[in-house]
Amino acid sequence: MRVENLSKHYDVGNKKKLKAVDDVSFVINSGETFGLVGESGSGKSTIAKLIMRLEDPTAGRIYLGDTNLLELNRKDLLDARRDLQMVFQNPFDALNRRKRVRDIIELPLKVHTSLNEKEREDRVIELLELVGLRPEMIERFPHEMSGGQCQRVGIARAIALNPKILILDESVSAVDVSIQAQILNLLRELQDKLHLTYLFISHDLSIVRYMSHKIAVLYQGEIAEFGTREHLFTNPLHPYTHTLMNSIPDPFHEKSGKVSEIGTGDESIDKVSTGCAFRSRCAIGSQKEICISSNPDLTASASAHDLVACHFPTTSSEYAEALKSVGK
Amino acid sequence: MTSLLNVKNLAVDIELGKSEPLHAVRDVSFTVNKGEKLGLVGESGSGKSLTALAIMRLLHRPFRISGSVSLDGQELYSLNNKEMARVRSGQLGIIYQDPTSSLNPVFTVGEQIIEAIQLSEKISKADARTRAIDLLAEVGVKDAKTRANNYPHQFSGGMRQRVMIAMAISTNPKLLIADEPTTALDVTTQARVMELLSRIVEQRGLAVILITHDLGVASQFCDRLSVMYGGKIVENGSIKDVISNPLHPYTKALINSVCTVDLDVTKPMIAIGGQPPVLSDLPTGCTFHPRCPSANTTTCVSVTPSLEMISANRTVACDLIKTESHLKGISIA
Repeated sequence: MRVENLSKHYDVGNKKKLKAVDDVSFVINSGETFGLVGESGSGKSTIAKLIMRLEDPTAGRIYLGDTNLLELNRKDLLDARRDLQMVFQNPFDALNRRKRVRDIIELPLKVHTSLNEKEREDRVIELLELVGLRPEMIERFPHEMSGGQCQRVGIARAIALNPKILILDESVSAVDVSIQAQILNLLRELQDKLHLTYLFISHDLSIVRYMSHKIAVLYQGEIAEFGTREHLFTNPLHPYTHTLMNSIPDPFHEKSGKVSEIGTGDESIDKVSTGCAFRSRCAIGSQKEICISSNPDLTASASAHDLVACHFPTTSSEYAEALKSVGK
Repeated sequence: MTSLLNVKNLAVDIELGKSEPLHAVRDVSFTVNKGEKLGLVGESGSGKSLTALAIMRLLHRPFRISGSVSLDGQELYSLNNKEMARVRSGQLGIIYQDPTSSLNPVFTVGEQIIEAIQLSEKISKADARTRAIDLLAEVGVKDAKTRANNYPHQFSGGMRQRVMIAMAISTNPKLLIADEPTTALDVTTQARVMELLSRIVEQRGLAVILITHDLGVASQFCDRLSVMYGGKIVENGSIKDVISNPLHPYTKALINSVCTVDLDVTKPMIAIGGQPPVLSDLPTGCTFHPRCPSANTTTCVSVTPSLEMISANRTVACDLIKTESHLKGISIA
């Protein structure tokens, strides 16, 4: 999948535009997991909706193979959706509570394939086994299952048609901690077994790291930093990435959850109109001329493996120094 | 240290008409000392929020409460409703998970804090307003005088949670109960709000019960940890001891399944098998035995383990712990 210069702007009155997604480009190779991480409002779910064509973008192109998804008519789009499936955040809301597991998983097979009833049932049972559920669960209703089991049904439905790409939007955020690890393991097993390609969206940096080969950090609709898992986590360069990493509450290390940004955190609602979107929270750029006047482009960093959108890319120790010098 | 809150054999049952009542909280006992921060950790359905609501006497039919809750020597379940309301507004402060639904959208935040102050003491409106503005400034709301006249929707999520904190401490409570205070917030906002809460609690010497499912948040804030599973406390101890040397198989499994940024990505995560217990069908014996890798087929299945003192300030409810050899034998990996 190739996403080029994707943008989604909403009109918010007074001729103002809210740039939910702004000029985002990335490539997802077959068989790998591409992680999107950011806070609420960073545009990660909007990107998922645009790729699924649940919303129409303001600009940009989305290629799946050689087809531009945005040029398809209604009928071709329906066919293309075979290859694009999604697992949602809340497993209870994503399943029709009046239908049994059989009907839920069978529906995509009914719409997209010519399998007869018996073949469909065999396929549903095969899918249940793939996601670690017993065949007798086929007669259950969603309310008769736990959150983890519902999420497994959601995954079974999504892989029923062997999609080319699976979009996982906060797919483990609503399940309990003890179940989260089960689901993450299952997703990785399925990827190995079925050569699935994932777009993995989450606000949780440690989970995105565990799941993804490549990661893009989103901030207010733009990619702030992009890199492979190894590079991004050993040598992060964007101040926002440092901020995110420092905010993770880790039970195994002494108080790491120190606030590593300036300001009160209230500024981000008044979006800055020019310059770098992160500057009001940045220990380096808040007063710098260039950060106020121009928005940095996403360019190759010194190591050339990663892309970073910052006028002053810094290592984590350099950023810690900068924080100290502004009294944090 | 003197104890502030004493919870003894607390049980919460849910009555369901003709069918058997559900036992949502079972035989929970713990104390919170003055100035102490206790973390109550567990999954959804483990009974942690019901425990908090029972402490505040906010549960009514179909809930049936038994046991005793005493705050500063006063037994809360022997007070009449009026006296209890006074305790609630004056001595207990609460911060809920979702600040959007716990603030009233049609009153300004200033009015809501003033109301809380005036409920607990005789004070003129002007004085209450001055205090409300000071409180807003204390929790980091800039330009507090003007912001007090704003409505909740004019604040961001993190700022609304700060307003909730201001309201909770406005009556100088003895005990603060924070039920998943940062779960609805972004990580960066969470870090800010938790830092603020630490500072305020420290300055005022408040005792806190922090309810959370997040071991990371609990370990950075609390002094002591109580782990709940299936309505019971299964392990108690200082944060350091429990995190670095968990004794109950559930605590071990929970700690193992935490995803961190230095996890080995080449290996599968260490997950807890099975599903969380369902209240209508609780397992016999130890509630955790169907998911426990070291459960035996005799005691674990039939005998409900009680919390046993292992060392000073450390209690564990696991029969396998009693024998030293089993203690070493428990391995989750």
